[in-house]
Amino acid sequence: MAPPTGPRGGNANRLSTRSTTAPRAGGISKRRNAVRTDRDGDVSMNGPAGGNAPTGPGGRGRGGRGRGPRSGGRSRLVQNIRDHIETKAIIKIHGLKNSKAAGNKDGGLRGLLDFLERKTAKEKTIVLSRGIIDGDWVWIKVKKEDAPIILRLNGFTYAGAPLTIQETTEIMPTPTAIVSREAAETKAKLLTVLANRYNAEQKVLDLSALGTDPILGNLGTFDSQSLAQKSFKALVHLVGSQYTDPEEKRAAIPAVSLARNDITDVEQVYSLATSLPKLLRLDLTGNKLDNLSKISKWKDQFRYLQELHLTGNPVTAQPNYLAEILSWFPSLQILDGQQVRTPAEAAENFKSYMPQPIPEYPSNMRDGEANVAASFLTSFFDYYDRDRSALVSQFYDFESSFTLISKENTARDKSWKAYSQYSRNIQKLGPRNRQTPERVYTGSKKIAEIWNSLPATRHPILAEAVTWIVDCHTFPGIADPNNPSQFAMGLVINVNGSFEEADTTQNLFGVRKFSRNFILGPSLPGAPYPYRVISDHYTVYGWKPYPPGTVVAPIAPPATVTTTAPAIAPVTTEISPGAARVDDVTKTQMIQELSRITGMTAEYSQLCLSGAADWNWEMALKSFEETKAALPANAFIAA
Amino acid sequence: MAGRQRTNFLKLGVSNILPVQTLNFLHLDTTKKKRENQYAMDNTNSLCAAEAGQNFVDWFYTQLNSAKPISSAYTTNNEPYKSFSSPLPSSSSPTVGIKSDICLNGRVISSPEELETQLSSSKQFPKCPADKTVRYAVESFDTTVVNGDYRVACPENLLEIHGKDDGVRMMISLNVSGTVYYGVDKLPKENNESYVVRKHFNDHFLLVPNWDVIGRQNKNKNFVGRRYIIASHIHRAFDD
Repeated sequence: MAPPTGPRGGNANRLSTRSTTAPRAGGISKRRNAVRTDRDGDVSMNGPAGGNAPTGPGGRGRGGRGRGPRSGGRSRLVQNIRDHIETKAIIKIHGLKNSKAAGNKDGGLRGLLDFLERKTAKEKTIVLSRGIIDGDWVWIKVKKEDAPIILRLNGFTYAGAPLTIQETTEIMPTPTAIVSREAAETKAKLLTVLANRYNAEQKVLDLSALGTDPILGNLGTFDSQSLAQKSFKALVHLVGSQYTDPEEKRAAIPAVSLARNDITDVEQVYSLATSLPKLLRLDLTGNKLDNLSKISKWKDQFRYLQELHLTGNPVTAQPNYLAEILSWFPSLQILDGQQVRTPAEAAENFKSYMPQPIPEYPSNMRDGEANVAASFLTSFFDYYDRDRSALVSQFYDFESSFTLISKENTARDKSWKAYSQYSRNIQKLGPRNRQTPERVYTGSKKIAEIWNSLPATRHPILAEAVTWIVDCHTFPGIADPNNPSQFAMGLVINVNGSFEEADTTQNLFGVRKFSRNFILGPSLPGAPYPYRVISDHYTVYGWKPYPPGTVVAPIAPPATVTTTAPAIAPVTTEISPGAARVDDVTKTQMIQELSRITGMTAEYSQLCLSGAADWNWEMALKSFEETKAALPANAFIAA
Repeated sequence: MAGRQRTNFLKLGVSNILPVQTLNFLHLDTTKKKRENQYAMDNTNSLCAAEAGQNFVDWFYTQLNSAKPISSAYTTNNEPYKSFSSPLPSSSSPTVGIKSDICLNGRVISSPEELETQLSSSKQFPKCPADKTVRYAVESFDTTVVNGDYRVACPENLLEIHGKDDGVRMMISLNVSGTVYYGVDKLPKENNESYVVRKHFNDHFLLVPNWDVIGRQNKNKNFVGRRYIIASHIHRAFDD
């Protein structure tokens, strides 16, 4: 049943109660006992007339919107659909634009609808609700049976203009569609403005004197200050959105001119800094910036700006103008045509504005005299590529543990599928997740099983130091299985590198980056080596397919069944980790360090390092020990 | 023996780390709970190490990101380790003090204080706005127990209380990796990408028990302190 309704001032008389917000002149009718209506103002036929007095202001106290009669319980959606397929006709009216009423606030729409209602009133009371103006046409929706009555008005003159009225089967446009179409038209016009003003040769976007631009003038952009700011924002946003790649954008638009735009505060054009943060040259000549505070909103922006023009602004006469501007734009070299910093000064100054990464040094291998880490790693990765079962039997035992993290922990991406099922990323799983302890794989059998299910790999040889970073050192406090009451020295090895990968199950071939961390400790009696892997932690990340056209030697899958464990020949060749990566900074550091340890002068330290040792720290120390006795007294720093 | 160990484990070892739910099911004696109980017992070290790793990672990178001191988290500055004196297997003469081994991008750093200086020198950009600092975003980490029976510098009483499966006397290997951003206060958005230098970082820590804190927490479980401190720290940040 229809719900109780709010007040509807005389809504029984539909003709006089238009849904417009302002009270309208004329047509006030005698107030009668209200016929009971439902919340949309529809008449409820079986309600007691006048029985329900209005009960306070209701939310929708605007009855008589002229929707057709409908039963109370039906949903709006159903009603709308019914309107379309059964009862409603769509009518297009042309001519309003040429009439005198076109200058009204609503474009003359209400007046036209009133006119139509008046003209049809003799024959039938028709209520015309919302109409939509789209360009030259007015669209309205009427009941099917009313359509012929309105169509009869075709050819009438309204406010000095002849009307063309026709029924149509086209779909009535919605207000939002009209707005977005208008926006698209404006966008196209703004793009034309940009295209006209972009000098492709000099790569300058000339947004100077926008007030005199004919297209923008037609758009009515500069009628008001706020509208001008909005259109500037739109322009700048468009510039930014034309390029998806920031580097491409930077290369395409290194310079912008905003000269002669009557800018009084850069806040008005602030968005330039967010759209083109890497701008190199900016021209603000001839604006109305009168105070440094009017520019200060841009400090900390435009860190790469090399050239700035403010000539013709009152601000240039300020006493601390130069100093302030210099401190706000770290890379600035030219201000108002004058060189204020050399390129070198600017580069140096820029650094002090930016946190700098920690300097990188080559591999740091402090693995004792036996070079355990070097020989272990050489064997390890060689065998990991060729025969993982054999590798496990050499270095792992029942207490060794293996964990793996696949950085992309989603099995949906098939390049990670092989790894993600074992991934133990506590950051994602959480320490109390059941899988967190479950995914520590202990014992050589289990480890071999997992390794053999991972894709085939090919690691570069360890002597190619460029692709490897190895840091290692010894530490105390490992349990000694041979002597439980004592503790032994362990070795921690951290490896960063990459390998080629052939995932035949997914048919993926590419290069993957990895970090691997080993903790080595004393092995049990009877093991092939005096040390074993206690903990092996493996992080894989950054998979990339081979670049197209790369010719790659096929990667042989590692042997899965080992009949006899091949003895791994002890590695005797000493590798020189990091030899290829020694730069001048490191050399200086090494010289200082050697000088500090041995007491030699910097000169002799350098000789020692650069000689046969070839910047290998261990070799240099060795050669120092060998030749120490033969060195002259002046080789050492006087005590 | 096992009974005693378990009591200790319940009373002292895990209570400070494990959530209440875990302890609850340890006490209950239904068949299903028994199985979980067994499961938890087998994995006590592993669970405790994971929990300790999470606590450490949360604390350490928060400190780094807000440029707060970290030097107290290294054994070099921890009293029991500082004064520890015992002949190490590899040397004949007694070594006094167990120092943390710190290796920053391939360079050995002599002390935690020096490390702080090195880290903050990368942030010494006096003219940079305060919010454009260095930020470490941890993407993954993982812990394993290297030695469940760690004894270095351990006081006698703790050695008696905590067995080797109690998840307390552990040397933990902790691997962390993620991305470090030089020049922003938050993860980069499209608009400030211009100020960011990005590097992939990989940190490896060997964590050892902080005997003082563990001892005090045994007496007062509300005592606040880091249960594990750094014996070794290897840091690498490089281009991804």
